[in-house]
Amino acid sequence: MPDIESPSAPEIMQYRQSQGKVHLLGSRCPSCSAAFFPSRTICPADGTEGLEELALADHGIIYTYTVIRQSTPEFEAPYAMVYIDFPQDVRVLLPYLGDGTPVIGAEAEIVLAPGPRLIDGALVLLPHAQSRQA
Amino acid sequence: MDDVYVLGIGMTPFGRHPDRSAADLGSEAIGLALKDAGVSRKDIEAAWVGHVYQGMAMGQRALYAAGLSGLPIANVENACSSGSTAIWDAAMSIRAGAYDVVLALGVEHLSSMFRGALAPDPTDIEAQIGLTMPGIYAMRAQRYMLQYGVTPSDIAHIAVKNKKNAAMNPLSHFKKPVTLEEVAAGRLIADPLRLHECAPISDGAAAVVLISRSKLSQYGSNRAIRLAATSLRSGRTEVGLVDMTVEDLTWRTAEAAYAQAGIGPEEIDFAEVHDCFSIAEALRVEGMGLIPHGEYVSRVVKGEMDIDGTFPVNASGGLLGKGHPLGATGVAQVVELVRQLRGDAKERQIKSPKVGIAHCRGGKAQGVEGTACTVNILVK
Ligand SMILES: [Zn+2]
Repeated sequence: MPDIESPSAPEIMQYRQSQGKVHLLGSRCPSCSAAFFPSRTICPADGTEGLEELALADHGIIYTYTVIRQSTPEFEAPYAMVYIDFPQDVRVLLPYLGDGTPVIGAEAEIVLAPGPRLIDGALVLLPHAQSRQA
Repeated sequence: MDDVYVLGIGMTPFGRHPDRSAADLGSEAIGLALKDAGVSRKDIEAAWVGHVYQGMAMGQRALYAAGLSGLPIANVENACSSGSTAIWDAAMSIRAGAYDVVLALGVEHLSSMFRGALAPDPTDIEAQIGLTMPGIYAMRAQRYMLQYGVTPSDIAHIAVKNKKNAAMNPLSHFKKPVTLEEVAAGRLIADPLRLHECAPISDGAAAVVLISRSKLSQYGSNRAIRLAATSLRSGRTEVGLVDMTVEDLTWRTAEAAYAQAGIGPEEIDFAEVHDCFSIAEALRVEGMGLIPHGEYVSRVVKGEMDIDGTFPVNASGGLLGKGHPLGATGVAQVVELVRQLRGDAKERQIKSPKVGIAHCRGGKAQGVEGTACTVNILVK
């Protein structure tokens, strides 16, 4: 399967699709190894310039969650959101895909799905976290 | 470096003011503060005005409406800490020896600007995928519950306490106490936070007149309260997997204030803190080192933070009860500290306090826990 670069809303969230897996694209500081998502050009920890691209794993652990029931008009509420801790030591906020309540500490994989963001009245394709089926 | 005192305070009722403008509210607060300070318009040498959504030169419009013009006026935007940053600026000008009598005003007409949930700035990635301000605090509440073994009902006690206090404050947005059952019956905004646990959209203004110690004797006020510390910090970019129940920004800002005042957390008698959401009050008080991490909520449940408790928090009603007109909030906190330290808080008076602390913070920007934080320490 060929790599597809951000087919729908690349200006919102950078990712790469490879062999059916979704990898968010962040950056890593070559000097102190701090990792960031979204990517940065200057390391806020030590001021190093020229950070390297870092593809995050296609999975992580749910650190916390909520279900947002009241939002702004650009979103179709309710929707769940989670913070995912990636093995690369970076925490990323993502919408959550699936029925039921996200479980803190559970493993989740990154998938593409529409929502919750509306652009011109339509849900856009964004990376989501989805609980891994046992 | 000259010491800074709060000589006069003024505050409008907080709430919905559909028939009034921000300039009108600001003008009322200024008038009240000048009268309380016993100074005339021409005594004010410079003014700083905090607001978030009021547009260009709001400060000038408010001061002109109050009959002041020609003096240096600076508008200050620093998210929810805009008003308290105006105090910081004003106090710095006295410490620097530039002025002796200055004004800090915070003002916001938010109901004409916003409906529904506040969100981070739309250019931030978090906002673009759907994070709201209640959502951030809800996610922190989930961690707090898990790590420290408390329930949504335990956290809801913070809202009950603050609305009870607000009912004793004639300037509050909310004048009616709520029961725990009423909080639990409120609609969910972001799980586990319900309607009564989110600060309302309020309009209002608050002002303080600050004066140098060297000029204080000329005004013969024995009602002046010393501003022993005023600190301002910004959030550090988060690196790694940090504990979201611990506020690094709040701690660094408080630590700087303790050092300035030469006063430790154990010497503080009461606090006004930024309870934009119920759980936020716990994160702030613990963040400032006033109560150990993970203990705050259970101690609120026991009544320790009530007005007659061992450590009263948000006797004014806080943001949850008194209201949250963004730019005015940080100034209103200092107004409450002064009232309490003067012994003028009537029904909600704390028993003979000597040292009060005000904590105000705001904003969420990409990759940081909060954008701006201020801590003020006032000593009788
Ligand atoms: Zn670095």
